[in-house]
Amino acid sequence: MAACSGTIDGSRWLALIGGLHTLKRFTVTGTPAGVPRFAFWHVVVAGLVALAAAPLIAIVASFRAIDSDVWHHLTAYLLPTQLLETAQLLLVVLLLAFTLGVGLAWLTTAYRFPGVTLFRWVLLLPLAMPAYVLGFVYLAWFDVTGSVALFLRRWEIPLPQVRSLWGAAWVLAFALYPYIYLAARVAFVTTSARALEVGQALGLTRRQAFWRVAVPLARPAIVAGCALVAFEVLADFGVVALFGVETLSVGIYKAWYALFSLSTAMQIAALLAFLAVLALFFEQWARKRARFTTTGRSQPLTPTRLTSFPAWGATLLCTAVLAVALLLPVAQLCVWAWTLGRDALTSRYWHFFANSLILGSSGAGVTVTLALLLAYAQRLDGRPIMHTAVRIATVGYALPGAVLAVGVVAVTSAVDHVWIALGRWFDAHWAPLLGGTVVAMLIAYAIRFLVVAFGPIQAALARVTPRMDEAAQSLGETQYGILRRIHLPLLRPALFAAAALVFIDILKELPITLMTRPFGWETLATRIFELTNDGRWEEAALPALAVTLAGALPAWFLAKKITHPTSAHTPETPC
Amino acid sequence: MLTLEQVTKRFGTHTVLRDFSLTLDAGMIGCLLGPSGSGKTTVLRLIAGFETPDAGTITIGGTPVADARRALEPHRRQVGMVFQDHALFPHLTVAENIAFGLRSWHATERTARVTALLRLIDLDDAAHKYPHELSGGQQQRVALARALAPRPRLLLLDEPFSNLDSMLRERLAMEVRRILKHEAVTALLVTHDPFEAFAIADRLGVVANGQLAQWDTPYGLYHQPHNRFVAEFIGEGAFLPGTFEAPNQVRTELGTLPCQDEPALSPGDAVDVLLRPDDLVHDEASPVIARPIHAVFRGSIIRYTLRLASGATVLMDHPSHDPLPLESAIGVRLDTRHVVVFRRTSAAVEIDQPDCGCSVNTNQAL
Repeated sequence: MAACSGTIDGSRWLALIGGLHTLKRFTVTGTPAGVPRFAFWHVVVAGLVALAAAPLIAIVASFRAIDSDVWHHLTAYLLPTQLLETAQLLLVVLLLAFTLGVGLAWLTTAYRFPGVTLFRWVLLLPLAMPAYVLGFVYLAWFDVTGSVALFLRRWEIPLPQVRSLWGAAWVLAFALYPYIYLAARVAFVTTSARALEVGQALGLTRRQAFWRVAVPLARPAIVAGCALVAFEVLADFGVVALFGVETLSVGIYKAWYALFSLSTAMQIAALLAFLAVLALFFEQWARKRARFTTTGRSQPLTPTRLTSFPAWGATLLCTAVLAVALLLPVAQLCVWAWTLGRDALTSRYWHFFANSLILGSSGAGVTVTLALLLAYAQRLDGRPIMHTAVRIATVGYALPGAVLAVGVVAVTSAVDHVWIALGRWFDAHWAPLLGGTVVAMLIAYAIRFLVVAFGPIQAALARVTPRMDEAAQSLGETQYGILRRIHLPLLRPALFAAAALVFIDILKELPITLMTRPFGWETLATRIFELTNDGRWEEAALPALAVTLAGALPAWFLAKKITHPTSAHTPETPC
Repeated sequence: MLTLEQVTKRFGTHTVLRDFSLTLDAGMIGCLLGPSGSGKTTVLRLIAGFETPDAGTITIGGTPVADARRALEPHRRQVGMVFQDHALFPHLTVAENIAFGLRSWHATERTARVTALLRLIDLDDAAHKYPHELSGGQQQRVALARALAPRPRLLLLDEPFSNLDSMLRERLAMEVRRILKHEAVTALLVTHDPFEAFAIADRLGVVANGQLAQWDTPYGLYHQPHNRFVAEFIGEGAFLPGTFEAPNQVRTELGTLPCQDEPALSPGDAVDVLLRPDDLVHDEASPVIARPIHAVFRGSIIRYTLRLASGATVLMDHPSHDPLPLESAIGVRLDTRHVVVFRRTSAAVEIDQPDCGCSVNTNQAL
């Protein structure tokens, strides 16, 4: 998702916000009476768990077949570099994103300065920008032949090498800081007001209260935000590939496309999956603790008014961050798209566009259907084992796209082997069933984005309490009537929201699309990747703008949600 | 109208109701009281059909609706239910919520019924509002109107006032009673607040350990409790030590009093006498002397804790216009026709006895 692409994906967002918001309201309920315990639901859930687990199992199983030549090369040269670069990138991005996210969250929560009400939600909008889009714009500016670089060289100002780990870290940090900003802001707004007053009543200054009360209270939320950033960095493929950083994600791709060794790719993927699962545990742990800090109502914090120099400094700082992360790059994209004009809109573009639309809508359809089944299964059977099953089934959101891609390819090719063997048994020549088809892509997307759809649907379904079912029953309504007159109207907005989010995520998705697409298939995302690899920035501008605009939708929605958290409780906006 | 006979309900190994029996006549408002976890809500869910009994029979209007083998589906029972959290449909307006169960009605009748109910619950002008735009009390009335709309044979109310603040509760309880009586519906509600129950019910009972401990009028439950548990659960009071002298007589330091005929007791047995705060009055002519040691202002009255000569304490209500000085000696006398006595044992024993149902009780009588 974003990730890979870098950016935001609504999903993690929703996972985070949903976690913070729904924990308060969500209560585990048993089987509502009158609803038969269909074994059907258990089959569905078992199927989804198997679907999510199969690629992981395939990856781990790859260690049975070690390609000794490649393995030596891998352990001696590739893996040490890849691990080191991944770790360095992770560390630098986390530091920078933490500083930006927590700092801006505190600034906009605790202080008043010109434009603060606007900045509070606009600072989230860089989420809309896929990291690889932000990345190629910076490369176009600062690379050796870049416009800014040439300009600076004329004045003999030395410029650090941008095509490096530092360049990639800069881009990723500005693309991803909103995760931490959001988490920290929600935590600051909901928890610290009263506690801060206690701190100040006990004699702390505002600044001391920040470090000794607000940050410790918000720590679980901030850790969860950092974990999301870590997922994205581990998963990122577009930016690191562009900036020539040798991370594990890139390693997987290269092992496959340069060394032609799927098993090697899978072995690297196993390592990366391990790191992702580590981040997942971290996030789950932090999320569990976050619930304690978000319960109960609290008074909103009264911001302190800044005046004169500090006030304008704060405004300038927020504007600068926005300019770096969003405004200038988008302006540049617009300029490129404008100069290229209608030349860019060839019939081939409509073709890529159509491919993206087809993939996005069919992927959204499949994923939303599966998520709906999963949500009902969980509602009808509230046992703890069901919750565990749901966790496993939705684990895909933590898995980097490249890992999932090789896993799914391994599984589909295994299925195809069986299929072809079966055909031979019938003396027939059957073509591969899944490999290299759109079906394989859709499976990979469904695993990856299941949680994106599951979050809103589950939240909406949780609002349809078992009591409502019973009320309708006692008013003479049948099971089918209850679904039609109560459930469907209440779920409809959430279903649309879920479909839109998955659609947008698929639109931006890069590694899965790149590695599992049928031969010769191009989408907007793969087109951007290939054009920017060749340095054809101007031509990439139009599809990049399209993807950014699509991403603005969930970012806007999230921004609205945190600015008006109460709207989440009114029925008209159930998403 | 409604009969439960020997109903038993188990959840896993936990028996929630054991041989639970209850009869409610047509047009009556019944109320089940009990601490949380006593199984009172399960009774409602069994009657509504959301749960099925493991043994026993439930009959509504002469028709059996559930026994251990068969159960009529909830939507065929014509039993309305008002839920603790109201469970209003958030996507429907007030009028649409009320009309939900009237789908098979003719359109003009439906409109007329909804209009009439809106007027009855005094929410004419809120017809097109959504549930979240209403206050808690208004939501509660809408939930009531929705359940009443299809003219159910029986209406069940599960802790209908527990989500409302205490100031509102008693007023709303009286309001609900007016509406129920206007609709002439038979109703059974569940609550843990005795005073809410007094305000609304014609008959009430205390559920304890999965059984109905007493099914009686408010006066009977308050002044003639069948056992200690009921006595302690319903209202305040004190137990004064005494000696059983003869059938119908008990001797205490406040004098010899008429009490219930208690076959299980023989003269000379040590008993506890239940005294409610309104059983004692201040009377300077009385030879019995007590000292007020504690006073709680309750608006129209002050509730005094009195220490008697023996050291025992009792409660007494006294008009707040005439405060009594603390620690002074005052005269008091009993103002009650008769009192209820219990054999002096540990309080918990009685309600654990399996035969302490509504009819027979070792310690009781009247």
